[in-house]
Amino acid sequence: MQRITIDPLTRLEGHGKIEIFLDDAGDVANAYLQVPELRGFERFCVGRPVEEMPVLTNRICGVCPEAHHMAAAKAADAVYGVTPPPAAKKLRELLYSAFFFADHTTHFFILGGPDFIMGPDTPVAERNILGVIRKVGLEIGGKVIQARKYGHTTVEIIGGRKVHPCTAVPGGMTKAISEDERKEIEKMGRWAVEFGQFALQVFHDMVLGNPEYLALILGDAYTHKTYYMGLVDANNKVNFYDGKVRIVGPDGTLHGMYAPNDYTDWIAERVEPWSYLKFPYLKKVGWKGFADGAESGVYMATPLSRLNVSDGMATRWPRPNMRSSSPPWASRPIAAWPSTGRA
Amino acid sequence: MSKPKFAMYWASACGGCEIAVLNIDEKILDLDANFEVAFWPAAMDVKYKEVEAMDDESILVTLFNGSIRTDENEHMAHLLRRKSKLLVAFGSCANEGCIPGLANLSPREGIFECAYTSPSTENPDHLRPRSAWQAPEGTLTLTPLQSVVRTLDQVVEVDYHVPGCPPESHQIAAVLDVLIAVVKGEAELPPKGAVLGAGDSTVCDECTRKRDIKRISKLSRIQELPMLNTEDCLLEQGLMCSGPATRSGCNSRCPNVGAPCIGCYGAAPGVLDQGARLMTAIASVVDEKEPAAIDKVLDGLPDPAGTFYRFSLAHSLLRANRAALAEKP
Amino acid sequence: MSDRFEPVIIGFTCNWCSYRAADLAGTSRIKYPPNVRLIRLMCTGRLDPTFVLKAFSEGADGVLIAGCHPGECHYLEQNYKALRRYQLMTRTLAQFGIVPERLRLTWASAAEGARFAEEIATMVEEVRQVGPLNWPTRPVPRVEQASGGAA
Repeated sequence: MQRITIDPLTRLEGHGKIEIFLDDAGDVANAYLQVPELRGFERFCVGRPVEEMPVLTNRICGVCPEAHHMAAAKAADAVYGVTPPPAAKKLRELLYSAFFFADHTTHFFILGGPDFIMGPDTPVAERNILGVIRKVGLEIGGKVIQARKYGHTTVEIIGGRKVHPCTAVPGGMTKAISEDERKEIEKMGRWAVEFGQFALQVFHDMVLGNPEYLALILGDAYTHKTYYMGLVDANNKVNFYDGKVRIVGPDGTLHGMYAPNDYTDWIAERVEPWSYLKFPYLKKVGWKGFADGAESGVYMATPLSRLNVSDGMATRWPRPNMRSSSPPWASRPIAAWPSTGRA
Repeated sequence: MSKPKFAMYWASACGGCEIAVLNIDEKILDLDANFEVAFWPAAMDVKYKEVEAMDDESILVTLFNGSIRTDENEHMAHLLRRKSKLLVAFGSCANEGCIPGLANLSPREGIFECAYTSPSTENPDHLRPRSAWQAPEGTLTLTPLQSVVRTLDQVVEVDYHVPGCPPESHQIAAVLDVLIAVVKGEAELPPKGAVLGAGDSTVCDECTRKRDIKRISKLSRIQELPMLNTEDCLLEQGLMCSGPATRSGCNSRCPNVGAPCIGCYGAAPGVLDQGARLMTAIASVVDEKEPAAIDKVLDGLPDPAGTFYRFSLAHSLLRANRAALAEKP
Repeated sequence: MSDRFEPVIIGFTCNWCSYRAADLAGTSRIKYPPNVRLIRLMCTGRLDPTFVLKAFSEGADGVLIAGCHPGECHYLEQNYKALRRYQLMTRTLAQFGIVPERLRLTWASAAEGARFAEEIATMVEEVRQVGPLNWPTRPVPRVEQASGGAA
């Protein structure tokens, strides 16, 4: 049996290697994604003060520390049974939205994007952000840099630091923002909306506008029909900070909805002897192996699944004509997503 | 003439160091203009095999972030040491072990126990990840976890240190400027072993908060101090702050926004052990003389080792809990 | 018995009291166990916790801190600092698995030679009971290793 090893995984946060086994006909017989790292947050957070968690768990991931910072702060709120004052909640939501903007820009242009912008056949030396900037030019490259800068600067104003913010504490935030800071954030936010439209156009032109990519994305190789999970508000619109976790099946029917503190009723984790990472699955469906479909407890918790579980975004669509052009995600649920060939 | 090669690698790390490097914004173009990026898993697709095939010392500078937690981490430290002329311990994990170094306060077995039998884990067969596992198609290997977290300079020789969790982007930009000047022949390399991209004092010295009374009769947790003001020293307001023992260079970012310094820039210059210096600092400001009264104040610090050594445990004098150190490597 | 465990104890003493107490014990021919190696500080207020940690990490089985009685510090109040550091260290060391018997604080005036000798004897016995500490030596960078492992 022939074997292909991809080590390490690149252009994503976290460590991984892939082992692919080919049968005699040269078809994939099986493939394993192994995570060769374990730092033990599960253990060393035990016994530490709860107010430390927002800064300790940050370090789970330096690409999305805001997510861990917020999750820990919300858990700490719950420990004390307190609700942060409205201003603190708004600051957290704003910080988190700025993070989403910065993070998705990082993903789209720096981590995943080079595959599409440069093309999967581009030499390794070019298939990265530096290659992207060389290809798209300084004007567009500069916009990407500016977008990340604005996102991280907003995080810094509210969270104290660009990476690993420090201001969310049990019951609120350690810092308010000044009127000048509010104005600065507003200015950057308005620019960010424009940039979002620009990025959508890039996606439209470079990915959807390329028949080869479109065939790839919508083809069988990239189709993965599973359960989908995401946070929604009371109106079933996407929410990033708070709300209930909604789960739908591969065909879009509701599987269930739960408050985050009930997660152990809904989610369980499976251990495999060949990876440090555990494999979460839907408890009520059960673990049926590495299979997709309604019979398997495997689920997705991603940007795509957020759209699939919700009735839409809570904010207005930034550019009405984009809706009319009927992108492939117009009819929910969408099962395919470019997995960006990060390996 | 071909450009000198640059590499960045993460061992046991979170990726924050790479984001901090990307956050130098437009300066990333200077990196591109002056270096050929030869290896950087976060940003490009070069594989380990290709690094193995590179000539020794063919990389001019490698920014190595992350601590040494697994055999693979150790192997990569040796490999990149061999391939690089200059090896930089970049960020808190590589320099001091950082927050994941807190794992050294308990034996490795506890990590497995906690991770693979947690309330959310269904593991009736008591499975554990294994260094080698026979899959139907072939053997899968998984790098073993070592008994304790080590820092880069405990494993290989290190040329320079850039502290911080993560290093502040303006400091990274300054370090990059130095490297570029060296490449252009406009500057000499700093002396070996130098700490780059940081200040030469303490966070307290950079902090703009007023220090005055220097005496405290109670240590409180931040959620017990809703009335913290924005002008006075946080420590003097009764909040544990790592500023007195922590190296400057961040512009006292956390105290500026009402959060205590958590010590991410590591031990201040001349300080051998960050935690010991913090113990000295706290013992000096507690305004009690009777053992029972002192104990009462210290009860306000429920986790002294975790607080004093939040970032620097793996590089401290003791490095780890006794039972963790006693385990087989 | 030669195979009896003989603990190594580092004693940090104050120039103005405990160091003289030890001296007095010696000149008075008072016997105390030879396990303690005394280091003279000008005052226990000079006792940086680094000294204690370095002692433990480099082979000491116990550390004794001996200063002037409360209220009698040559530098007014520095022995209270030592007291606070001691209390803080005891709590911290417990998390490292270093039991309280290994770190002892005592007060001894220059006149208390006999009492200081007794303190030392008691501590040596207590540390003997808890056994050797044997803190592993610090790892040092190696130049090269055999290839293999990750790749």
